[in-house]
Amino acid sequence: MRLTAAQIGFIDNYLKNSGINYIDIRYEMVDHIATDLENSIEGYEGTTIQDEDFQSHFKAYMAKNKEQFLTSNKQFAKTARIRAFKLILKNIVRPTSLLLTPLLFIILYKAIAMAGLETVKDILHITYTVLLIAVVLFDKFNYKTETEKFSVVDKMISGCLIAVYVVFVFIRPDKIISDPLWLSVYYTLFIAFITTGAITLLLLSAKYKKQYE
Amino acid sequence: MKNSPLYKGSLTTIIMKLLEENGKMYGYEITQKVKKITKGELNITEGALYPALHKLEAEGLLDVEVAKVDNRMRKYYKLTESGKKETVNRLEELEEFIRNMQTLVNTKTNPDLQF
Repeated sequence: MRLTAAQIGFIDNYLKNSGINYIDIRYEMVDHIATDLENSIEGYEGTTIQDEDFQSHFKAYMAKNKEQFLTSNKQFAKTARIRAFKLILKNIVRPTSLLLTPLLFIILYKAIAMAGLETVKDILHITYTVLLIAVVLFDKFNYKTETEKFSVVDKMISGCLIAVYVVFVFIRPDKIISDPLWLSVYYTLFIAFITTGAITLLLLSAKYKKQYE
Repeated sequence: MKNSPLYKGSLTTIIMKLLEENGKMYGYEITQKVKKITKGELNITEGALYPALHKLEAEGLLDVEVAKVDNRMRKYYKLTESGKKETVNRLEELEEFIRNMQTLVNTKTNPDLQF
């Protein structure tokens, strides 16, 4: 017995309405539920099941298993955030990044020495703001709806935004550090993190879209 | 899972062993294979399986391939090169664990060895 496209769509909508928003998590759950139902419902060998019978079996199945799927969903979302952070860190320590980071430090240190601290701060703040706006716009327009986002990509975006917000609004090292050397170190590390995050985000998003198209 | 505290620690090794033998598999297929091999004794739940699969994927030990099958998208898992090497290590570890446990369980206590 095989479920019809409409019945598969019904399972997908049910999971969406139950708060399982990430498409990569939901696809796997839909497949698991559909396969389990196809293998357990008897009396329809070689045919499709009537919608009424399908819904009655589906209802019984979800009454037994829904809580498990919702718990899994929360766990997946948590794992996704950790995966996103690990991916950024993995890319920060790549040979290319390790070669470019000291170069960036030298450029920033020389820029502070030549143009002055306030000018460099202003340029960097404008750059961060533009980058952040780009990330927010990417998030808004890359997906048609909230329920078409990929878990790790979404957690990466929110993770980067949270990191920037915490650093800029709460910690504000540029107000605490006055030594140009340490300020250059701070700006270098921050730019490296945000830039790597943005590049990782674009590559990961492209990879997921290609995988699921 | 039956006797979950005992099986829990071996779940990722079980998954990797199955993927080593079968190439690529999807989640439901893995649960059914385990059930078949153990004649229904070990029943891996969805709540235990998918977090384990995603953890292995995050560690770079599994690769993922998505394909359209029977009106839906299906996610297949397979071992990466580092996953294949790690499978050998974990199986050796598990075999040693089983040997040690068998020794401990089968040994009768010698009063002369009591502390």
